Amino acid sequence: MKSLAELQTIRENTRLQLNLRHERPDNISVKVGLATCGINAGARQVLSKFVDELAERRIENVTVTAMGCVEKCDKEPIVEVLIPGEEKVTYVNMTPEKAVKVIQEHIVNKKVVAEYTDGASV
Amino acid sequence: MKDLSLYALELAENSLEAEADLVEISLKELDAAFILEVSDNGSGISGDMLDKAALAGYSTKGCGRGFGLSELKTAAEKTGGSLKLASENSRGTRATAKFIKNEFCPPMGDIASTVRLLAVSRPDSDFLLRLSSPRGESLFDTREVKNTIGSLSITYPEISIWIKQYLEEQTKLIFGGAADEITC
Ligand SMILES: Nc1ncnc2c1ncn2[C@@H]1O[C@H](COP(=O)(O)OP(=O)(O)OP(=O)(O)O)[C@@H](O)[C@H]1O
Ligand SMILES: [Mg+2]
Repeated sequence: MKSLAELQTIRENTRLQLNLRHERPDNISVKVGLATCGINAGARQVLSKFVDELAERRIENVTVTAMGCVEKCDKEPIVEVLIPGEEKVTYVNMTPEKAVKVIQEHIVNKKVVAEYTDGASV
Repeated sequence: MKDLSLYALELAENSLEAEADLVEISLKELDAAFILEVSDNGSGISGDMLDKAALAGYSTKGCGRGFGLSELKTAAEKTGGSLKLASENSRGTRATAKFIKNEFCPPMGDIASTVRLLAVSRPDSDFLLRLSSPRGESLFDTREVKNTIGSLSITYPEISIWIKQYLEEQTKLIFGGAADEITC
């Protein structure tokens, strides 16, 4: 059985690690559309993939949040990625598989996955 | 067809869009029905709008929207159940959906995933998950998690993974079986 006491342990272990780190890298923001249109198109699986994959890779400088409908319901699931100092990138018709590629290429390697963006010729 | 955990996510999103910072999700299994209830401390729905809120296409959020509650109402009524909305003094809202167990009842789905995603993607809001069945009861409260981890963020990878595992364990305990195997 898991217990809250384990959180206490995580907290203590992490405090040691965080103290060793001097600078926090810029925070990258990932937003996933979670209105009814997004959820119907499979947004929860996409959000879930972002959260799981980033946690597994221990990537800490990315905040994944939910956003409302951006009135492109036929292009849901929609994901916005914002890296400080760069233009916002909007990915459309996302899937969990595409989410992994966006993490690898865009978030880790800083290269936009052009083929998944809004307006890309398919 | 959508499962109960996705309806729970939608209701919670309604709450958050109404500026709630505390959302309680309760999933209760009775002998003959499932009750999904989501209540919040958001802006509420005024009296005359309560009757319209679940009409298809009725929305205060923009065009193309207004289908969340109506889909849920249709799904609940298809089982012989119902959707009820309550809001006191236009402060806070409670949505209660009753699904009768029969062939029309959607599967429960992954409620652990819904609540974990809410908890980590909305770190500034708090969530309570109440699970209950004839097997027992379980209560999860993000405020308790936050008190325990202090200055560490709930979005931190290890914490996010812990929440996922904890909620999966609780779901199994209360409903018996892996989250997405459970059907009405
Ligand atoms: N928890 C809540 N608090 C306050 N108002 C609410 C709440 N839930 C629903 N409403 C009101 O009821 C309307 C209809 O809700 P519904 O979920 O059906 O559609 P929506 O959220 O506007 O759009 P969609 O769900 O299609 O993305 C909302 O626009 C809002 O005005
Ligand atoms: Mg809605």
